[in-house]
Order: sequence, then structure tokens, then C-alpha cells
Amino acid sequence: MIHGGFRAMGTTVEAWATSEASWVDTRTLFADVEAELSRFRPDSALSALNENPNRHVSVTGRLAAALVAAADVRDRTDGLVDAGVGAAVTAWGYDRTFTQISDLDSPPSGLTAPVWDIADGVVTRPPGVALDLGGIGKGWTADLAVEAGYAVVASAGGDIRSADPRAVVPVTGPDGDVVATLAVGVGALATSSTARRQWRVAGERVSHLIDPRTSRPVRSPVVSATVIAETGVDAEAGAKAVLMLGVDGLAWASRQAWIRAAMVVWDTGSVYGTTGLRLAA
Amino acid sequence: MSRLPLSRLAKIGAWTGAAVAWGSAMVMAKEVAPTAESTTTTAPMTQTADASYGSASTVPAIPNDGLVILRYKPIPEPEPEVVTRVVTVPVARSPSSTSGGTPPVATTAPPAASPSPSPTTATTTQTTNPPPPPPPTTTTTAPAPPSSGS
Repeated sequence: MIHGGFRAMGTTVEAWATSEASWVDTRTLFADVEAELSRFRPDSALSALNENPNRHVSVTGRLAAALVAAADVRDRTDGLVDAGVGAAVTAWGYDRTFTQISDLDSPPSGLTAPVWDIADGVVTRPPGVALDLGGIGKGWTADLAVEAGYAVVASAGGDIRSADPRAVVPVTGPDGDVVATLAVGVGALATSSTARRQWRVAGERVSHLIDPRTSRPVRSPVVSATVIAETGVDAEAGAKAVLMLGVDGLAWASRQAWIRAAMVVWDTGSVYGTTGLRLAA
Repeated sequence: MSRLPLSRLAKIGAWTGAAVAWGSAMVMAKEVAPTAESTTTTAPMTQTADASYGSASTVPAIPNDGLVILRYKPIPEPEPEVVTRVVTVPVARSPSSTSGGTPPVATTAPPAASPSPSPTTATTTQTTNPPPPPPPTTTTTAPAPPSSGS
């Protein structure tokens, strides 16, 4: 098994492949998708879409496929995970790669609720709505890498997709300690956390996760949420939704047929999970 | 049919009036209730979200099929808050000591404080506020040895 890591999509990507050629294919895939879907690249297809002043815009290829996936998880999470928060993410200060973010003196105002849709390759959204694929893009690319047969396991900053039935994943908490080692097998695992990517707005710490219901950074007693599902997109969307739902997150996750198990790290340091968790150690 | 006495008619009238007033109050309460509910439901979403976080419990809502606790850490006890306040107590002066020449008698109960003491009584602090007893470390009075029982 070939194993190695590389930088892509603002994070570290690791891939396990059966051959060096497959591993290189995985790395190439991530680079290509980033070039197409990154909102930080002015020449990406996503940036072109966001800058297009027209209400209806035709999209093709990977951008269209990723947006269809994003619209699907938005509907399944009742709008909790919405790629349409791009304008709010930017307004709150996350308008450049995380290492370049600087604090803001005051919070933004006048933000509108995200409204957008995609049908038959046409994106419809009013002016001012920007799309940000964020973590969904990472999970979606990890899915592509495994489903295309390039990687046996692909991990994009903690969004993991696996075709290995023996796959186990140690999940670290906000302090960097391993809070649980989970058996994933053939499936996917993703962790969403407010502890790492933080900066200050008007002196108050904010995270990069924008709650679409309020267009404000999420406030939750859950500092880290992990979800195991069939695909990377589902795991990523589930983890975000569980975190945003806070106290009700695990109960919500247990009612979703597409979520196998969920685990949260509370702001006290406690760790809770649903009964579907399979501990590997 | 006998005529009711005037006093009894007055009582019946009073009770009837009270019953009508009580019924009117109940109707008004029913009319007010929906207004209160609609006010709650139209509260801004941001306030709702913040309120739910502020009242967050130490455990998540338990799913129907159960909750797995992998690690439990209770909320740490908050540090006790020490508040220092300077309290000024208004004092009243005994009417017999208005001249200030007579030392107060600490063993007698002080007179009732006047609601508005005159400015001339401002120097009689010790009369109504005797100083606290000396601390036990005072060397002028040796403490009694511990008793072993009588």
C-alpha cells in the first residue's frame, strides 16, 4: 500500500493507494478539483459563477455535479448545511485562506438568507448570493478518488472516505488528544469543529462555520462533531448539522437513515455518541 | 312568596357583581394569551439561537435508541466572586449627649434611631455602633485555658 500526504484545498490530504500511479492520480484529482471549485482561486469555475451578475447561470462538469450534491445535502439537513452562505462567510472575515485572516472591528450587517438552486445544469440565485462548497467539496473529492479506484482511503483534512473494510480512524478532540478510535470500514467519516479555525470580530471569537439560519458564526455547546456515513459528502454534511444543532444534534442524527453514527465533544470536554458507534480500541 | 330582606338582596347583588367581574377577567385573559404566543414566535432567530445555547445542558438530548457516554467531564464550578462594599450606616445620637461632653455608655441599649438625625449627632458614632470586640490575638487579655469539663 502506498501512503503519502500533500497540500490541497487549504488542508493536508492523505491517500492510501495500491500503486504509486494510483496515488499520483489521487493527488492530480485533488489539484484539478481545487482549481475548479475553490472560491479562493479567481480563475476557478466557482469564482466565475459567483461573479456572474446574471440570475441564471449554466454550469457544467464537476462544478455542476458538486452543486447538485450540495443542494441534495441542503435539503436533507433542512437547510442547516447550505453552500449559499458564501457571502456571509466572506463578510465575517473568511475572505482569504485561513492563515491570512485578520480580525474585524465590527460584525457585518445586511446579510440576506441564502437562496439558490440548481436544475438541469442551471444555477438560479438572486444577486449577492455567493456559493461556497467548503467542506462539502473536500468530502466530495474524497468520494471521487475512492469511487474512481484511485485511492483505497482518502482523507481531506479529516473528511475520510474508505473502501477498506478494516479502516479505523482515531478522532482527536479540540485539545489534540484522541477521544475515540472508531471503526469506519467501507464508508466515510468526517469531523466538523469550531475549535481550530477561529478569529475575532468586535473582540469576540468566531468560527468559520456560518449558521444559514442566522448568517452568523455558529454558537454551540458542541465544539466538535463526527459523523460516520456511506459517503464523504454525507459524513461532512451530517457533522456540520450535528454541530449546529447543538443539544439536539445527536438525537437528530439518530433519526437520519443516511447517518450510521455520530459523536460529539462537548465544551466541557465530555464525549457522547449514538449507539451506532463502533469503537475500534 | 315572601319578600327577601333588604340586607340579603344586597348580599346577592354583591356576589353577582363579583361573579360577573371574575368571568370578565377570565375572558380577557383568554383574549390576551394568543397575543403573547404570537410575540414569542416572531422573536428574531438570532435571539432564539443564542438563548438555546445559553441554557445548554451538560448533556445532549438523548436519542430514542440511547446515548453513549465515552467520556464525562462536568462543568467546572465557577470561581466564587468576591465583592467588597463600603457601607455607611447613618447614626443617631442620644438626646442626652448632644453636647458631646459625656462619654457614651456602651452597655446600655442605644435609643431608637431617629428617621432624620440632625447634623449635630454626627459625632456619636460609637454610641450606636460600638466597635467590634478586640481580636483574640490581643495580648492585654490572656485567653482562658480550655476547660476539661466541670
